[in-house]
Amino acid sequence: MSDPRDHALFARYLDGLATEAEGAELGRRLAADPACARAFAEASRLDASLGAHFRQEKGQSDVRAVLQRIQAGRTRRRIALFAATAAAALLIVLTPALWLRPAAPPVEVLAGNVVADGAEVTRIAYGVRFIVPGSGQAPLTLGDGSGASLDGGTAAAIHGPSGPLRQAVELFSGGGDFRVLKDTGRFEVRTPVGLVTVLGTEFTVRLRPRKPTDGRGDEAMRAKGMLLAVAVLTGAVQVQVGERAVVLGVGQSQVFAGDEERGPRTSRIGGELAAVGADSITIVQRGERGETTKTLAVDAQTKVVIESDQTEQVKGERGEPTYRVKLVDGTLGDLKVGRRVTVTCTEDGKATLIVLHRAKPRREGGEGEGERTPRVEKPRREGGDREGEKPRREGGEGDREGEPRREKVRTEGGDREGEARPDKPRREGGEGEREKPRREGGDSEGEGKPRVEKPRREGGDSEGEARPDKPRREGGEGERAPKPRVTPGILVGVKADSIVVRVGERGEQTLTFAVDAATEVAIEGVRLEGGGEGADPIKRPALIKGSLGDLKAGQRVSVQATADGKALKIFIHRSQAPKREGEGERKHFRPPDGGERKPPREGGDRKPPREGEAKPPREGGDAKPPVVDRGAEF
Amino acid sequence: MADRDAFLMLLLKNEADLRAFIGSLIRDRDAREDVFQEVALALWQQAERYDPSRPFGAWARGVAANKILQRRHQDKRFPIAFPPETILAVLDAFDRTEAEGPSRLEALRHCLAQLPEKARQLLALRYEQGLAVKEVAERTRHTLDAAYQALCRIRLALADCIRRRLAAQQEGAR
Repeated sequence: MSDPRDHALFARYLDGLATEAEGAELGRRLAADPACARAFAEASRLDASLGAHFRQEKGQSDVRAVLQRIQAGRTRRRIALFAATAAAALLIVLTPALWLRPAAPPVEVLAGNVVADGAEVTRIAYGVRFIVPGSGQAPLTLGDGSGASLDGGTAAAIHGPSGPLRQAVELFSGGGDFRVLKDTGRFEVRTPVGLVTVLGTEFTVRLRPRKPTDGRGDEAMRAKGMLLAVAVLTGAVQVQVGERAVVLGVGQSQVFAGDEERGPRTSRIGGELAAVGADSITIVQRGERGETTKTLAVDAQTKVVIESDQTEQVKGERGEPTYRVKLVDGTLGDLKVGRRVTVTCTEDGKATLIVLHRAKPRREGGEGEGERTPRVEKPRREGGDREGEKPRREGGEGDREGEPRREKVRTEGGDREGEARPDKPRREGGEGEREKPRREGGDSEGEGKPRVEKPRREGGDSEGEARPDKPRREGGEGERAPKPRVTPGILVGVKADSIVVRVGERGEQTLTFAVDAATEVAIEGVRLEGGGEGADPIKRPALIKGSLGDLKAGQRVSVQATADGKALKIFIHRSQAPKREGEGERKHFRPPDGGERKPPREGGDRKPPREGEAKPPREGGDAKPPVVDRGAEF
Repeated sequence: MADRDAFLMLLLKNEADLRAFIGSLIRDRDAREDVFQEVALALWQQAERYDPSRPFGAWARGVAANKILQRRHQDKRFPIAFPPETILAVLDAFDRTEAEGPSRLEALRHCLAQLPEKARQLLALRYEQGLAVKEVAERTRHTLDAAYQALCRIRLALADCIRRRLAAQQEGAR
C-alpha cells in the first residue's frame, strides 16, 4: 500500500483538480517510486472502469426514455448518425424479442413490413433482395442469431455462411442497427461505399445520399454516390473504404464518402467552339497568355443541353425555392462554331456533356471570355445550396444527379471561373458531374476521393483559361505535360479544401490548389543534435511531418501538385515572406485546444520557448523521445 | 498474427485497459480519444507484427506509449502532464499490474452494489454524467472540497473492496 498522500495526489490528478505543481510532483513520484506507479495504475484503472460502467448504466437508463417515446407514438427517423446512447437504447429495447426467439433460418422478420419479389414476407431467403417500405424499422433475426433492425426505405439482401464468413448483410440503401453475436466467423455489412467487418458488437450503419433523392430510391443514391455513416455502440468494427481501413471503437462514429467514380474522372472545359466535326469538337480557351485549343471526341453518347431563355423554380437543398436557367435537350447538330460551351470530358478526352451557352454580351471589366453576362450576384450560401453547385459544407451533399455542375463563384478576388452564373443552367435529367462533396474540417470523409479542384487564378480568371490540366503561372507557355510540379510561393489563403498561394517574384499571381486528407505537409525546421554538458547543440536541417492545420497565411511554401491542381505535398519553409504593403494582419493559427498561438515570427527561426510557455509545434525539435520497443512501429 | 478475427477479439478484450492506460496519461478527453483511435489503427495495421506468445495488453500499451511520446515530442502543447520517464514508469506499472478484465469488472459491479445509494449517486454524477468535481459539488450543494473528499473516500472503499474480492476469488480458485 503506498502513501495515502499519493492517493490524494492521484485523485486530484484524475479528477482534474491537480495544479501544475501537483502534476509535476506526481510525475516525479511516479518516475521515482515503482510502488507509487503501480498504485497509480490501479487508481487509473478504477477511474476508467467507473466511467465505462456508468456510461453503460446511462445507456440502460436511456432505454426507458426511448420506450416512452415509442409509447407516445413518436418515431425515430434520422438518417444522420444519431447519438450512440439512443441507438443502444433502441437495440436494447429490441433485444428480448430478438434474442429470445428461436433462430428460424434463414432470416425471420419479427415485425414491420418487408417486401421481397413484390410480396410481403415474414422470412427472407439468402441472396434475395428485399426492401423495408415505409418509415418504420423492421427487426430481423439473421441466420446466425444476430439481429438487425433495418430502417424504412432500406433495400438489402442477406447472405449466408461462406468460408470464414458466417453472415453478410448487403445494403443497397438505407441502414439499420445491428447487434452481432460473438461467434466464430466474420460478420460483414457490405455497402456500395465500404465494407464493415465485425465480430461481436453493436453498431449502426446508414447509407445516405449526398443530396436528397427526391424519392427516387436507391438507384438514385447509387448513381450519385453515397455517404456511409457507422457508429459503434459496443465492441469495435473495421470499416474498409477503398484501400483504407479504419477501426472504430465504442462510442465512435464516422462518416465515409463513397467512391466518386462510377465512370472515369471528369473535368470541365469552358471556351468557344472553334471547330465542330462528326466525331470531335475543338474548343478555344482564351486567356491573358493567348489561346489554347483542345480537341475532344464526341459520339452518340455525348449529351448536349442548351441554355434556354426561361428559368425554372426548383427546390433547394432545404426545400426553399431556387431559380435556375432551364436547359433543353440538344444534339450535336446544335453545336456551331463561335458558340460558347462548357464541356464535361473524361480524362481520355471524350466529351460526355456539352452545355451550349446563350450568346452573351461581353462583360465590362476585361475578363478573358468574350461572352460574359453581367449577372445578379446572389449571396452564396454556406454549404452551396444551389443545385449543381459544388457545395462545401460539413457532411456535404454533392451534385444532383442529372445536372450539369455550375462553375463555382470564387470568393477570392471576386471573379468566377468559367460560366459561373447563379442564374444559369441546371436541369433535371441532364448528365451532371458526380463529384465529391467537401467537408469543412474533413475528418470523417478522408476516405473518399475529394474532388480535385483546378488551380485558379484570382482576380480575373476567364472561362478560356479554365485549364484543368495544370495551375497557371506567369510566363507559362501552352500545354505542358501533366505531371507533378513544385510551385513556390506565399500562402495567402487556407481553407478546408484548398489553399491559395501567391507566386511570382513580386507575388503578382495567385494559384489555388485543392487539398485533402491525402495532402502531406512537411515543415522545414532544424533538428538539434548533440549538445549537453556545456556544448551547444548543432542545428541540422530537417523536415518534420505536419498537418493541414499547420498551414497559415503568410507562410512561405512550396506546393507539389498534380497537373490538375491537387496539392500532393506542401513544404512549409522556415523563413517567411515579408508582409506586403497593404496586406492585412496574418491570421493567427488557432490550435485545436482553443488556445491562440502566437503568429509566426517574421524571418526565420523561432526562438526557443521558455520553460512552461505554450509553444507551437517544434520544427525539427530536440532529442528524439524514448521509444518503447515492443516489436511495433507507431 | 494473421488471424484478423482473433486479433480483433484481443483488441476488444483489452480495449478498456488500453483506454485506462491512455487516460492515465492524458486527461483531456478529446486528446485521449484521438490517441486511442490512432493506437487502435496502428495496432490493426500492425497485427502481423504481434507475437501471440506475448501479452497483448503489454504490446498494445507499448504502441500507445510510443504514440504518446511521439505526440508529446511533436507538439509541446499536447495536453500531457508527464515527462517521458514518467510515461515509461506508468507503462511499466500497468504491465506489472495487468488487469484481469472480466473478473475485475465483476468485482467492481459487486462492490458498487454494496455502496450506499448516496455514494452511488455521487459516482453517477461524476462518471455517468461526466460532471467535473466542481459541478458535482454544485449539484449536491456541497463545497468543492467536501465533494472531492467524498469521491476520494468512495473510490478508496471501492478499490479496497475490489482488491479483497479479487483476492478471495484467487483464494477460492486454489
